[in-house]
Amino acid sequence: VVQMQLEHGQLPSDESLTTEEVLCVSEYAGDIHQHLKEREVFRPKPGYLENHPEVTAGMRVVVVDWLAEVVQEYKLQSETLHLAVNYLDRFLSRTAHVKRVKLQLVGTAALLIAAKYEEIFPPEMDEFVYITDSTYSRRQLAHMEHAFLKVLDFKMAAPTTHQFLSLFMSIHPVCAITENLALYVA
Amino acid sequence: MALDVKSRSKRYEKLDFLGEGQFATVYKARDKTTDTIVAIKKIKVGHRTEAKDGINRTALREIKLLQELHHPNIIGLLDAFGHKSNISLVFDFMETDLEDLKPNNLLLDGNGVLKLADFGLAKAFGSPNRVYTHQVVTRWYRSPELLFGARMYGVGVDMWAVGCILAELLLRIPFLAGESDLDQLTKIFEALGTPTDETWPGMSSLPDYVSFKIFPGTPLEHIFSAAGDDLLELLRGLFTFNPLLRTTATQALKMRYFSNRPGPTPGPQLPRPNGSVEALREKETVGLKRKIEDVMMKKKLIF
Repeated sequence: VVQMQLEHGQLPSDESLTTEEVLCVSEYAGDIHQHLKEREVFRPKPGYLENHPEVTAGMRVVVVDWLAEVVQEYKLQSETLHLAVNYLDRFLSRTAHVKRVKLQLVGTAALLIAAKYEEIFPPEMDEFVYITDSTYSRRQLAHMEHAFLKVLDFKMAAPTTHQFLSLFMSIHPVCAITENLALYVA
Repeated sequence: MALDVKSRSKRYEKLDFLGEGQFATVYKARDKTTDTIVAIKKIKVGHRTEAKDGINRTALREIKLLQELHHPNIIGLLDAFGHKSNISLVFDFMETDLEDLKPNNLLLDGNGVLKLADFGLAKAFGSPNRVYTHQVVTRWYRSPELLFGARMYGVGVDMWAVGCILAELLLRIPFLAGESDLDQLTKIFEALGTPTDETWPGMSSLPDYVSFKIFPGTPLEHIFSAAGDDLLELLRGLFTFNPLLRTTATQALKMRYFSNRPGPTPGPQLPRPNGSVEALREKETVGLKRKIEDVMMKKKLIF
């Protein structure tokens, strides 16, 4: 799967057509922006960690860093990472007393769901089990995926910083350095 | 959580079985809360190979996309819920069966309002530098750049599909019914003429490009002998080979065809499928079955 991704990712393909031209997005930029603003209701609750005595802010950082590593390793889209973090925070906002030992499982399920949506070739379930060093079984992960969607009430269409940023940069192109800095900050 | 599922599945009273395919079963049901008729599409877990990766991805995408889309001409996703390893999608119930754009995914409600359905392969667009899979859109409605393997494409692929649908409405049979991707291109070029690097710059650098015999093409007025000049002008725009020059939705709506007389028939005055309720139901079931089988086909294509 990764091999296929690499092959596809490297394709410079249609040289004659620049992305901006093909996507012809400028015409819809205003509508897209308004839509993103309207969808911004899907945000985590501030201070949600109070409901999780076993989880600290530091642990969340560790999980998010790990998710970023996985995304890099499997060459997934940045949007996948942003979505996964949104799902993770919202899951924790709507639950209580998540055990420390289950935090990575929650993070893994968040990434699994985000990848299924965002990636052309999402890693298989076994890969997600593998990246946790088989800390959890496939069954546990499948179960968590279900629980996750129920907690989120299947509301997965959340706008992310990355979407806003991409939109702004498509309207107002910036140099590569600025773009990289903005993506890094996001 | 268990309580929630119970109450959710209890909310809907199953009335009728509408159709079954490899990936989903569709029921007609009554929403007891709102006392409305809905269609429930229950996604099956399928074979072990399917279940292996957890929840069906196409269903997840369809849910996520439809949650974002609220438009009078897009089928409304009313609810989604999970039960054991199944997930179910609740839709507006459509009276007649007519991302991809093809006639089977265009539904008409009781008031003659057109609704787009089936967003299993739809993608949010607007993210630059995204490379997409080219295995989208049922073959007959697939644009030449997709058939040549383009990974970066835009709204032009939908406008091509719109052209094919319009042509099908005029001919009453699919316009370009290819049996393979290569045959599809042959059919396109036979009808419209083989493009050149002049008419479509960049064509030969597409990933799956192969050179074709030069067909002269048939003038559109000969293929669509009943179409007026304004309609031919629209078709010509939609069947432009170069995706960058192909008519966009905005351009199309400004074309003469949409303002010339006669105007469109108001939705409620459109002819309804007549005959007995049974005959109608049979027709619906057949339609839905057809639709589900198409979903199955698309699924194979993407992986």
